[in-house]
Amino acid sequence: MRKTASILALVISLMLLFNTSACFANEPSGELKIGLPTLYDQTFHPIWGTLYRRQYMEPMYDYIIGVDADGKYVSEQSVAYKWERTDDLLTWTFYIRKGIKFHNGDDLTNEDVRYTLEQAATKKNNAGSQSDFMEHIAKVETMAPDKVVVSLKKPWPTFINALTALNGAEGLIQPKKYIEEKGDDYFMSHPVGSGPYKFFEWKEGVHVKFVAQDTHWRVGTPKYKYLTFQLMPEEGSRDAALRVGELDIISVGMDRSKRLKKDGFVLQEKKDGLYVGLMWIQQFQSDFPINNKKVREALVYAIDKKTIVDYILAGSGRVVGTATSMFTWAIEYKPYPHTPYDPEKAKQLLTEAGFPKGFTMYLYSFVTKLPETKLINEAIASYWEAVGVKTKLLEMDYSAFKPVWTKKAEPPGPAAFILAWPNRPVYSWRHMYASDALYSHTKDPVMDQLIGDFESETSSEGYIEGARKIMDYVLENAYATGICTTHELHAMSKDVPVWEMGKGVGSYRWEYIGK
Amino acid sequence: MQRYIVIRFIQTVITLLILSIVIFTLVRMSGDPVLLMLPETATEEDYELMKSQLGLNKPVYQQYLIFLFDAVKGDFGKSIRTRKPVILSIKETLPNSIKLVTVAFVIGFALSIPLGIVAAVKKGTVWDNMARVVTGLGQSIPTFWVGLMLLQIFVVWLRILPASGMDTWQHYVMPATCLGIFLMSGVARLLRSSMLDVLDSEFVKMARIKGVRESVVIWKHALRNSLLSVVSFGGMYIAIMVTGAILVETVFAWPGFGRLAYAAIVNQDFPLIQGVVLTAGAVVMSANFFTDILYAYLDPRIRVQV
Repeated sequence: MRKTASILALVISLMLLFNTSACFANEPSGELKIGLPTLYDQTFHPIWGTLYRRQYMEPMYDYIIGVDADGKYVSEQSVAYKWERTDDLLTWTFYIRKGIKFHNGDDLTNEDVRYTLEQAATKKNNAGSQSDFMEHIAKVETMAPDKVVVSLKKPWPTFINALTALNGAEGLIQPKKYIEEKGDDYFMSHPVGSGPYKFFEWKEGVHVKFVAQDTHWRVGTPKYKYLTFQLMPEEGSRDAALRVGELDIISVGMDRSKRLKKDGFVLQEKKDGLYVGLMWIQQFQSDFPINNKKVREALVYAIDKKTIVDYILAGSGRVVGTATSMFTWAIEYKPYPHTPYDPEKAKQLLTEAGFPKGFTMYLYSFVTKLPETKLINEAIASYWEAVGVKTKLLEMDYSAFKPVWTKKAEPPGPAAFILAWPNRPVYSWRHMYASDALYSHTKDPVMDQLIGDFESETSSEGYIEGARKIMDYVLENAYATGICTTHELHAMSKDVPVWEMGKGVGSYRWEYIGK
Repeated sequence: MQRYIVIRFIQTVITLLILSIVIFTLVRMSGDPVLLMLPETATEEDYELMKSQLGLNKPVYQQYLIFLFDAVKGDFGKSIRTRKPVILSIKETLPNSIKLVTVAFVIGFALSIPLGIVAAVKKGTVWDNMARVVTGLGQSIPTFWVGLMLLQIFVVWLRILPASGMDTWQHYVMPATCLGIFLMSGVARLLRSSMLDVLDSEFVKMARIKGVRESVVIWKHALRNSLLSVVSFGGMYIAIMVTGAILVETVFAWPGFGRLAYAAIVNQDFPLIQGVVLTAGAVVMSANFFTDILYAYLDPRIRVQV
């Protein structure tokens, strides 16, 4: 009798154990702590604030159009389960998935998608592609309960791309009712999205914490219950915190990554994730030496790009000849030879331009995605000094630089900046080079014409050809120059499963870890 | 004593008022505050609206009074970057810095007093030399480097302390030690030289001649008289540490006032800068005020002079 009771108890215990395990397997558990050098604006409104906030903001939202890790549009991961366009590319129809709810319990409807697109086409949009949306979107209508129809002023072949993680944050769906009730200011610090993680806590200057939904239509059950983005400015401190298990993943520079790898940590690489390029500030000002094409060319020839890649980036990257993000992911692009390092030619060009003794140049220095940016700036300053151009580094935070980039603040003189930004498959020429664009420092009617022609193309061949013409023109006039592409590095503990970071701009697909 | 306190309080308030005028003037000299406060995408209507909301279309003296009364109420407006009320950010970070500095202060004084006394009493001996080496190193080694070394030793190698955070007493050990070391060195050196002066004075000689025990001579007569300069230095330094411990706060990811001030400046967050500068000014003035009171308590001559 006692033996039977013991067997019965054992069986019941085993059943309970398996039952509990099965139950736990279907729930998110634990906490994933990610250490970052900056949390940028520490706000959560998709289009109010820098695009880079998407690094921690993205798991909280859904995109109108979803992409997989290879950057391909996937309707199963899109709020719009289907989309159509007319042949003239002027009318786009999106069919909105039903049953998605925002974290406050409201249904996500076509009105929210309409609101999101309309907001992207206003001056309020500060997420990166304001001018594209304002230039193109004429009208957004909700025709049927699941339908949103967008009428464009002119063809926009890459419109779909602009609604994905491959571009800006404009595709992240905002809750219309909630924002209208509470206001944008409130929404910035009390965000509501429909993504797999919902907002849990923000401690200014400390961390941002999200909590997983038990199940989500796009991701299923997230692996981790909590997702915490810890602000830890000093790399040495992040390194120490990773080693003792206080953090699970850290953003890390090239140099330290090698040591961490040697010590048994896993390196998660977003290959060619970053493009590092040089751009001018207010080159259109006639009294600035950089208004002269020869001066711009001289400054480009003066830079030893290969040494920068080999020594500052420890060989983790490659020199590029393009003057913009690489078109490597979505659009095939011809390889461009990079401008060789030729200080003698630089001096000769400066002399021909009327500046044999050089002039004073300002170089804005700030860090966005690449910790080595400041070292690159110092190297460039020394290269320019070597050809007689006195270079003053202006150290500041990216947020402080932004008014200069958007022409709301004046530079002290002819200036330039190095920006390490995520490589993106579709590049906004208008955004960067059109005379009237927010971020453009070029005023050139030929360029405006080229951009106009490019934007009116409806065939993919014509589109690529148009892009090439603009690229050739940019290089011919030295309106910008690329330095290199490099990889974005994260070091992590062995307990964290390796995952595909994807090809999105500033997007890391944290919610897919362990999926 | 009461009269002295009242006079010092009035002086403190006047200094703060002067500081507020300086901030008010400098902000208006450095550019249009509306342009600084508005987001980059604001329209002309937004500009006019904010101008009237801030009362900037009123005469300058009225503007100053509005600014002053709002500041007294703790209303510094909202941060441009985060849209969060500035006072909330200050309320969150200032106590963190005060807590850290308090611990650092205790560590600093607990080490510096015996060190300074030993160095003075054992002048010219190996103890004095050792104390001078220790204090010299404490002042010359960068705090930032000390922080990184402490991280390497206690977090990575020994694994007995946490790298960041501020939830338990263990979190305070490294950042407070970092700050405390610098304070300890300064106080110990000051105390040593001050003690040497006092030990050489007539009244100490008299006490010794009268046969007073050496420990009483040192701890009661010499130390109390030497503490005047130390109190003055410590009071000033505590205020500086509260508002400017940015390097230590950065290394240990400590969410303190120094990092808030740094973020305000690098982001040109005008309302936050205004709030932070006035608060920092108030902290320094308050520290001075209490130091002066303590000074008067320790030295009756000051009370008599007043």
